[in-house]
Amino acid sequence: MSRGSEILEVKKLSVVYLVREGSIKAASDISFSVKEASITAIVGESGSGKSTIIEAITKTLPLNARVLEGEVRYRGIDLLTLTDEEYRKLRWREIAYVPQAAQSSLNPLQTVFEHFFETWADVIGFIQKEEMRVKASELLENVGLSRGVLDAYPHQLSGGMKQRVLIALSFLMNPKLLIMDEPVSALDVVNQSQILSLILELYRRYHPTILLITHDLPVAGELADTIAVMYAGHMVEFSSNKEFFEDPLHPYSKGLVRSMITFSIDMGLVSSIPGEPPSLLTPPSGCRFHPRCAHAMDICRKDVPPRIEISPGRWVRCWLYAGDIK
Amino acid sequence: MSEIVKLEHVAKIFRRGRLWGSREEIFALRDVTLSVIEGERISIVGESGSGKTTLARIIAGFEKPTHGVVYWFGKKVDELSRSEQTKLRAKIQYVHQDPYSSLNPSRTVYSILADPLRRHYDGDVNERVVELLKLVKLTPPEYFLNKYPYHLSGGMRQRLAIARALTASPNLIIADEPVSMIDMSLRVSVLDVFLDLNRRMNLATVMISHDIALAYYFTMNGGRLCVMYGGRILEEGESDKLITNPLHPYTRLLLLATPQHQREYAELRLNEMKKYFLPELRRIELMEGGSQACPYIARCPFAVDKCREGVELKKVEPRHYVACTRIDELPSWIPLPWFRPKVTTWTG
Repeated sequence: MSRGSEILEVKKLSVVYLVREGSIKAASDISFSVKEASITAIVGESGSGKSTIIEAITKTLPLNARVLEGEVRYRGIDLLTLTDEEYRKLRWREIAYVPQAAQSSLNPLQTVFEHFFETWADVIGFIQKEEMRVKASELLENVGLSRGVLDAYPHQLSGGMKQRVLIALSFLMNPKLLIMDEPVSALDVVNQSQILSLILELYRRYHPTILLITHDLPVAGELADTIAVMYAGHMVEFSSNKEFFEDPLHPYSKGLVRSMITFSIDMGLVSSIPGEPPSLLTPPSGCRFHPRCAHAMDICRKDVPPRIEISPGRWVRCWLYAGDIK
Repeated sequence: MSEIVKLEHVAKIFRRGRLWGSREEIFALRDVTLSVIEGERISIVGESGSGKTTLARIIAGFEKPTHGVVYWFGKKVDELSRSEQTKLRAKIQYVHQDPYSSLNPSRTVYSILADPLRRHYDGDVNERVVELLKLVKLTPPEYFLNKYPYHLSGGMRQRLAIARALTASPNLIIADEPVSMIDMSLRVSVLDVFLDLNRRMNLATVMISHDIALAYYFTMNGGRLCVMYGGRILEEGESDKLITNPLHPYTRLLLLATPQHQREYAELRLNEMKKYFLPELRRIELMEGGSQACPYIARCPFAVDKCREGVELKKVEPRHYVACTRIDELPSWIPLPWFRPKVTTWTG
């Protein structure tokens, strides 16, 4: 494990969705990198573009999406230029995607075992059923499920169990990079904590690189060592976990941290961010947060702020910090 | 202070089964006694299947209880005449979970509010519409009058739904998971509208939530909190007391299950939870029909035989009740380092 080198690098990625009314600028000029064996959380609200980014990385963008420019480099290879056939060689073996369990990601007509068996058959080739049963039950054991689950159909499983099955399945070929879409949303709190501790445990054992998206700030805080904040299609801040929660830089990040309702903060001081997120059909000019920002200046309305590096590995896109680079 | 709603030993049984097959009985609520007093804030917290929504629907009169009695403004609901029932029902309004489907998409904001006002309000309808929009912080009101729900964000829609509930000048609002579908930065603004109405108009509010941190935020400084599981209220009391001195193992579990935000405490929190629940359900043959047993018995590490015989809410201190036979045997509650509910006094 070579910790510290960059396994994934996203450079100037811009994605739009074509709709009848025009184009939705879902992700604009996104650049960030993910260190090997780290856990990075992209946080943002619905419509902030966080799913668009991981869909671009996993090549699962919907048909009306267009990548305008940018690169997604995985160990130097630009994933966006790969053909579907070439990408298939990386999928599962190098990059595994854990979708949200709530979105019925499992095939209702297949047992859990068939999911394991067919995935293997599709990616690697033939395998004896008996051999696969042994492999699959080991993986299920790893996520705290009994081998009895192998012959169950998805409808027989609870939400928490489905999420465990999906996580077990993603480890089938020991991938280097795990991409998780809202791993704990839509679960009851107790289930949620169990999945959180499962992810931490698997991380400790296998040290995969994990990139997850979540709308839940406390969840991101408990899991990730690096936090990336999305707002209206822009990535506005990139920080280490500790720095982000102790001293968020971007006014939007500050607002988010202050609007968190949980027992580790002073609930008497909770406040919301005024205003509403903009439409991405006609996003505000300049910094997209300026209509809601208490510190907005003239330049914020005109120009998109550049990435301003505050300390190594920490940056913010906000004109308030522009003085720091001069 | 008068009671708006009172439930006495209410149970709700849903029956399901095939036409000719055996019928299964599902106890959504068992022996719930609860009253809502004028101007009160109550949060009801529980996981899915705990009966919290059924309870809310019975309070609002959408469902009839299978057993037990419901009083509205001191009168038995069963004995009210039809016209009286209609009149009182309007005084108890319900705000639904999903603001994307609870508003009529073909009506403007104005007509969503004006139509019910013509029925319930004697003064100038147009003026009242503007007043209501201001109350729920949809300002400037003129900007919103001709908008349709699809022009509005989730947070705005939910505030419009609150304004609509206010058209009948209710004494009680029941909000069923009002912010679970709303983005995090806007949640507080919706909750604060409820808190503001409660303070300024003395409007009683019952909020249903699966998130105990949110439930506490809504009821801190004097509100009440009910913790439900398996159709029963397991712990109930003044919110501040209940959070600083949680007594039921399930309440403690819920408090520990809420993610905090510091990475260094994640494992501590997750380990501490294991004291209060069994990862595998304990197999026990109970839970038949009207069983009085503690519903948490199957997951409770402290459960003993007497938990099967029955539990009921008992007073442990003024305004704090717990349904647990084992509270004297539980370990003492030492809040973990990250746990610091409310430090500043809330001034609004």
